[in-house]
Amino acid sequence: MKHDDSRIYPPTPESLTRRRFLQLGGGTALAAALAACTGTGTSTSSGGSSAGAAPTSAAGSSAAVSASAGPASAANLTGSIQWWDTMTGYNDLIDKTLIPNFIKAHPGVKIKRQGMKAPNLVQALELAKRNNQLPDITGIHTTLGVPAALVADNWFSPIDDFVDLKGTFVSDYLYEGIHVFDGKVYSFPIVDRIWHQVTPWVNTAMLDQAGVTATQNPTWDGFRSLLRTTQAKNSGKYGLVVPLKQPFYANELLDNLASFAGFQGTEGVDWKTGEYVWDSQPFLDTMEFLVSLKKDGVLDPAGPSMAPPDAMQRWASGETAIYLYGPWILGTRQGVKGASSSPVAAWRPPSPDGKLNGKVHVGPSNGDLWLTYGDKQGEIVGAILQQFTTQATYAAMATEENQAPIDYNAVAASSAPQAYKQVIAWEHEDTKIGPAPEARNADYAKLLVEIRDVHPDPGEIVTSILTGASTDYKSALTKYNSAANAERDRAIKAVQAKGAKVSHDDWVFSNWNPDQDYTPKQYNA
Amino acid sequence: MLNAVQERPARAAARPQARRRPGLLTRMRRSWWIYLFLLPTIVGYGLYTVYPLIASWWYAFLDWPSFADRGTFIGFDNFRRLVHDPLFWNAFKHSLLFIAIGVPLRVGLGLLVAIVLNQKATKLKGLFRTLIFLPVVTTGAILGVVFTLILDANGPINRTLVDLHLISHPIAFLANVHTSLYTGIGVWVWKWLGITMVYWLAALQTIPRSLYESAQLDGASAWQEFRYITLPGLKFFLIIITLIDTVAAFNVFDLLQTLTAGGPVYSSEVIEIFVYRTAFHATVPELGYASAAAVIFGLTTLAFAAVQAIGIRAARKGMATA
Repeated sequence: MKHDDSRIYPPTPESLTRRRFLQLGGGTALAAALAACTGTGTSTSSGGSSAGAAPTSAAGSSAAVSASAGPASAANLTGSIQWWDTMTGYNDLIDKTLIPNFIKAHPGVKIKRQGMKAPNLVQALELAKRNNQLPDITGIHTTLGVPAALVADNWFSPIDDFVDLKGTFVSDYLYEGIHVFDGKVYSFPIVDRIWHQVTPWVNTAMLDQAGVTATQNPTWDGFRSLLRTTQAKNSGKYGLVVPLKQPFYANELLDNLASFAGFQGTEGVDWKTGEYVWDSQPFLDTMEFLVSLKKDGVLDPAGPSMAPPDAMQRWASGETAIYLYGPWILGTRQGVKGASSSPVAAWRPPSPDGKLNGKVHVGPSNGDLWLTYGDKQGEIVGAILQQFTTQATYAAMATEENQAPIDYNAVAASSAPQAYKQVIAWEHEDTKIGPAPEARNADYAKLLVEIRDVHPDPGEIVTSILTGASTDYKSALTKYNSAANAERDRAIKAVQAKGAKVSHDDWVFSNWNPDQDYTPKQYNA
Repeated sequence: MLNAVQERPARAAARPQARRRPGLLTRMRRSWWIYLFLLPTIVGYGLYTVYPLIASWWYAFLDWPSFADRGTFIGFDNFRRLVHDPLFWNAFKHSLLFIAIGVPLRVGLGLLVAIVLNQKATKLKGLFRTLIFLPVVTTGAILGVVFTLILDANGPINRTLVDLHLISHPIAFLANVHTSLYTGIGVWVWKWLGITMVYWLAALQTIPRSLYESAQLDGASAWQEFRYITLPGLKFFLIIITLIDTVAAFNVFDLLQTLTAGGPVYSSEVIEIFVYRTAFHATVPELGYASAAAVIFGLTTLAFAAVQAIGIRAARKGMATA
């Protein structure tokens, strides 16, 4: 079942702006984690029909996953559960292992789950909310709103009474303002959010064809050189594919590469000063590097009309030698029909001198599944959610080679390929959890709702440069930086006028150490 | 002409009766079954056209993040923001450009194809008509997806052009800011050419065959037939078909969204995509702001529709007096 089409898309947000929203907001929604993947998963299970369902081969290692007991583990639970999410990368695991096992333990429960693309989920939820037809369990996405705003608007109910998180791995990853509101837990992370998106995934057959010696720590110049050579020796193929149809990839590309070139912060914000620094030297250097790739002619010309999943397929089918992407590529690659049989390898991200001069900083992993407001079946929902706190589930998630489970240690202990294990380990070495302003100030969510997009944003500037629409990236980044600061100041004044207690200081984290995760305890220090 | 002459005395005869017409309620009571049959249409039209239209006007005055149950009244703020939003005007310009280029192309090519397929000498007319009409009945979104593959840098068109040494490097038609909108226009013209061709074929049927036969007896050339018989005969149809195609050019969302999604870098974003992006794909989706853009777009469409109505009326009058 690993060839299910539903898995061919990676868990990435739908747009740059949403992504920025997420990260500046402390990593709210990337329901991304799971979120992401597109494709549709629909399953209906009930005690009678599914109890005897055998695990699929793909879920072979998941067969050990069993319905564990939470506060509401009574076998006499009865009810019918509607469940919507964007965890389509785990359709097999959820639909063919977790749900059947749960039904087996609770024969009186029926579960209808629909995995869907993030935009579809958002639209469905908006309609459902206005018509009092919300499902019992739902995922969220950044375009729906930040969790704090959604909780304030009566979208969700707390799960404390139904899920026991004490002693679980996730208990150390709960943040006030992201998962906890007024001291009550509303959700918890299931999928690991600690990754960057610039791991070079390499088609080794194409490099062999070109006689290029692989390097695990490429310099920018070395990277350019090997792309030129590889393309020259593989007629009709390209060195690198950069999908630009949706600017969020370009934004991540710029942010992540600049982080390894010396920028320390999240999405252009230096947490030490709280200032946007999009026009600082690491970003300018990174832009110059990207421009040089274009000048070298090693970029697939179709890149600007491709979304990241399209580019992944292009790379997987052997049309381009290298694709900079996240760790889930191995799992999604297996769903690509006509995928190249070439072995693949992964390197550390390219950097100016081959030494990573900084780390990528992301917001805390968001809560993935939520109990909707006023739902009467909290006990059943709690019992279902409890499954996602067990080591058995994490072990099963690890074998999917998608995004890692929140307990990423499960990957190292799993039967996943060594390349996947290595990349997960590297990602954790190179990516750290940064500060999240809303985890310190509840009113910050009001500011996030007020802040408007500024265009062209960095992702769009990268796209402009790489498509030849413009050439002056320095002026564009400087202009954006200035406009972003101005828009933030305007938004601060606007929400202050409405009584919110926010200020520029909400962006300043003087106790932040860029080399370490910013933990929940540090917010109160 | 004959119809117009006959219509006048009939109207004149109807006038005295109209003065004695019973009241609306009486007429409704007498002809209640007519209104009964109209009811489903009235309800459906009201629910799915009139209500959303009126609601969007109200929403345009609200600050309404999409996750909220309802918005807050903010007067004309959304319209004020729109006026200063360069991306809105960028999309507006693209919509007008789409019309300015796409409509003449569609109307002109449609006429050309119709004339060719209206000739006695043309073989396999039925087959060609069917082939040209086929894209009309194909879903726009599907065509959009298919054309992203056909026009891809590694797609069949580029490979053919490169193989024929007509170009040295593939052209990313949809991925280039300088070509994306025009490529979209081209695909749109191709998709809808068939229906315009049908309009023209119908129009051509109204020109009496005897005129051509007389001209041929007088020794007129093909160009003279076209210049002095066909073109004058199609003048009023030209107005109607152009206006119909113009209004159609405002509804290109499905095709362009799947072709380019407005990119790269907003280079092919038309008003409809702007509205969709603002309502569903912004960092904070704003239903009120998107509605305001939709209202302005709606007013523009309305203006075109009004011109269309005036044009059609003028054309009818012209036809009647011709």
